[in-house]
Amino acid sequence: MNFNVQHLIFGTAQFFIIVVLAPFFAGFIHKLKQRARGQKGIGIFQFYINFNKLLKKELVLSKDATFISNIAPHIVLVSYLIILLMLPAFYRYSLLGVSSDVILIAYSLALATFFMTLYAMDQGSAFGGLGASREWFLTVLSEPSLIFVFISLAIYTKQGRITDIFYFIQKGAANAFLSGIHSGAVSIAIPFLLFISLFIVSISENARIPIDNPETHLELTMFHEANILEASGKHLGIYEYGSYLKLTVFLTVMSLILFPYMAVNIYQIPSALIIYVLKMIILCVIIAGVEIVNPKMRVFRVPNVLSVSFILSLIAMILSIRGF
Amino acid sequence: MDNLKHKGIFRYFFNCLTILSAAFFTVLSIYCFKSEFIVQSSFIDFSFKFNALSLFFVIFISSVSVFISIFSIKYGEKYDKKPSLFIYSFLFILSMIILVISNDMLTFLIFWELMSIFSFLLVIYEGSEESRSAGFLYFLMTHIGTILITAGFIMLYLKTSSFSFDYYKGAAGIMILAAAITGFSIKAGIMPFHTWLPYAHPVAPANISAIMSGVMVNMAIYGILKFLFVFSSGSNSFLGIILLIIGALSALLGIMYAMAQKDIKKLLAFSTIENMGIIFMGIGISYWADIENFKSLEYLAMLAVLLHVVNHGLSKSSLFMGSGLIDKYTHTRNMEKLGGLSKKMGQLSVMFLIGVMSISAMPPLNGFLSEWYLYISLIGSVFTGNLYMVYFSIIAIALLSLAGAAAGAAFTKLFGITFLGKPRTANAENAAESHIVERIGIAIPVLLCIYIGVYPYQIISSLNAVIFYLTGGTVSSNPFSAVHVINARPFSLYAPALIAVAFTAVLLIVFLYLKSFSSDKKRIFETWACGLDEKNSKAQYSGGGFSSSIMKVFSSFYSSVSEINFEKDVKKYFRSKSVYTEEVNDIFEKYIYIPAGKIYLKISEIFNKAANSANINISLGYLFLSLIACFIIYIFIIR
Repeated sequence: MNFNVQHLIFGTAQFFIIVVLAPFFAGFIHKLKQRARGQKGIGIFQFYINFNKLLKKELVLSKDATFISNIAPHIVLVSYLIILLMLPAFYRYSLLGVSSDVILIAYSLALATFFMTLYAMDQGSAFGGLGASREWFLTVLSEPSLIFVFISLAIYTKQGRITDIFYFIQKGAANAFLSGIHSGAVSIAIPFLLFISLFIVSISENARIPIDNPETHLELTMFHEANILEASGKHLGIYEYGSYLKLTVFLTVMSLILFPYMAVNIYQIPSALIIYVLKMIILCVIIAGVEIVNPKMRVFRVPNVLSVSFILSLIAMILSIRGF
Repeated sequence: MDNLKHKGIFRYFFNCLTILSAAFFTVLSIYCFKSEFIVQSSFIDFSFKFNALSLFFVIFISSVSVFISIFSIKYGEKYDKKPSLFIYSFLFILSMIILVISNDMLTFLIFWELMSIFSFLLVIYEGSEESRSAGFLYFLMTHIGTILITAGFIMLYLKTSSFSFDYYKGAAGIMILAAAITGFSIKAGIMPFHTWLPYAHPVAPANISAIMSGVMVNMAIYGILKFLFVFSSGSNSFLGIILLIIGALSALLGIMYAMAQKDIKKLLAFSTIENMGIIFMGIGISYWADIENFKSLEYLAMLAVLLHVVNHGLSKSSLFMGSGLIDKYTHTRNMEKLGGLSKKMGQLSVMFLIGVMSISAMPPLNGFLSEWYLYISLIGSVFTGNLYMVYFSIIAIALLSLAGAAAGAAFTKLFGITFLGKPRTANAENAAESHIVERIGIAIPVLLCIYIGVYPYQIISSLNAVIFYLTGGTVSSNPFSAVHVINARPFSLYAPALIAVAFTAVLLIVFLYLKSFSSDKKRIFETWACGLDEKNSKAQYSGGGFSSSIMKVFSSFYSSVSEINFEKDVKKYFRSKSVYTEEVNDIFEKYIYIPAGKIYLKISEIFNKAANSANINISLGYLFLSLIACFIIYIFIIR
């Protein structure tokens, strides 16, 4: 491993920029949805204020809570942060880029789910158990498509690390763009299929409307919210921030599939950052649009949607094998 | 004698003897590495040889049995009245250790049989109806396996006319491999032959279940590795693909059945089937790559296999020991009757949590490491471009990822229902913290899980000797050199030490940030229950409820029967009592084993009627006919 100070500085900067931007993207989606429904809506920066307020609030712990309640929120947050440390959102050399294996990313997401569901079951609340059960129900169904998306990318580019994967696609796309479509092996179908597949997975994993509705606290509709129903004060703040980070992880991977543009040196960073934010805003608009037009669906119809996502990623994988 | 029993002399003596003999064999096999010796007795010569593979297995068996013996020094108290347990378990462990160093087929088969017999005696140790029927099934299945293994060895003998393993190198054709691998699969509990495992492993005392699930099933892996990588003549690569797909199916179905269980030990037993499936997948890829000459892929898959043997042995034995403690201090293994044990058994719950995380492959623990190597080998086998392998490895990736997520669900259920929430019955309410010696026995494998997960380079470089013995190559154990799958180009890297350091650092930063920017006010209050103040701990989510939605989606895997019985009263909505029963049946058991058993009984009834006639001429006639049949088999098939 060669150590580069420039990579270290900009990798750290990239990480902090994404972490700081995360509540903005979530707030932006929220705002769009509210305006489309004809409500006045909260401010775009409301989620920052909420987080700050939750940190100042008193922490109420259940008397049945064990050590899990104290460690689980932190581990959930840290697993998302570790994934963000690996993602090359707009700078190619992310901090943990050397070990940013795609399987590791998928399993780190599972680690967060594992601890969040343990937290849910910790207080002995029936809602918590229900939320944990439903969360794993979704995870079991969406994990194969998520891993298939990642492995198709790995097979398509013959790279295993997410930084290398998107750098490879970026180079291929640039070659094709600059010197005609025949010059490089670049596929449009594979990223397209993977994008749709990952979009469906991210809607289900991030508790978005056709699958889940995070705005209600009605036990019949709860997936994600039921897990953190007992959380309060700073724990709730961490969970909320964690959900913004998870959304950002998925949106960032989608934005990289959609249009990979990562800076490789210091001069490209401003343009790459601007393009990254633009891509994210476009994705936010798409997500908000999907959330506005769809009603929430029955729980046992969710497998059908997720199997569509699985089939699409399977097709993408078969297409990417054709390259050999 | 009774006085001796009362003081637990047997328990101390035999557990210490196990520890000592494990240490003795470890030292012996390191000291005599690469040498061989023969023990002559009046009727048979036992020949032994120490090579890298047997050294690995000797160290593995010895270390796991040392933890388990430390654990049973205290845990075994309740078995003092019937101390045969300690004698059998000592002989059981001893026969396994000698099994892996034996170097001729008779020695191997004798100790294989001794291992089976002693484990059978341990399964029926409790003497209940349940344990006797489980013991019978185990006895039957394991002997079918032994017959097949013996058949494989006999065919090898006919081919090489030698008993020694030295002459078997490259001698086993496809028939021999098929017979032996089927036999070993029965011992490993691979999917169509798994029926005995979920019955036999849970009924034994917990320390024995830990040995059976953590160590004994791996003897089958030893046998398969020996046959496939040492004895195999290397002709048919399709066998590797069959092993891959059977392993993937076992992994998925094993964990799906594990999710449906209420009994903690039964859940763990099904999870053993899953992990054996994962190991089989690695063996399949490695064998296929061996024959098709994809060398680096072969080494990677072999590393995944050996690492998973170690990881599964450590985490499964610690979980089984933990389940034994739960059983000992709450007198139940049914997780629907437990709950809230974390407050009563604090240290055990931390160790159990780490074991559960390790076995459900959560990074950065060791379970993820071996699963990661397996995923990389699967991606590598897609890269090979071989039509069949690409096709089947894609299926295997899908099944493995589904199994991985389902393992998370199953073990969340196990830990959440047992250790978290409120106690559901008085049994859980009155639990007490276990004895320190018992906890030490669990703590050592748990610490090793963390160590291997975070800093695996030591063990990888040790395993390289075994990989070299089996495949003739090694895997890089450099922390920052990326993995190669089929060609010289680096493919990917998972650096556990780096991830662990980053994890700790970020956790520390988050912690410090919260410490300085959030309020420290804290209040302990009741869990919110919609404003009701009813204190009914049964109102929590149950284990059955937890897994029901997943089971509903994958209902084709199960054959479950659930019914609600109401008392026949007039009121439709305000019933005084209702009984809900659910049983989940194994589809293999229901549609293959039970019908096959019935057919067998019918046929034997017919023979019974015909043969048991009083006429001696007819009996002699049968004897003559069977003699002729034996001759025909000898002349036309074996020669």
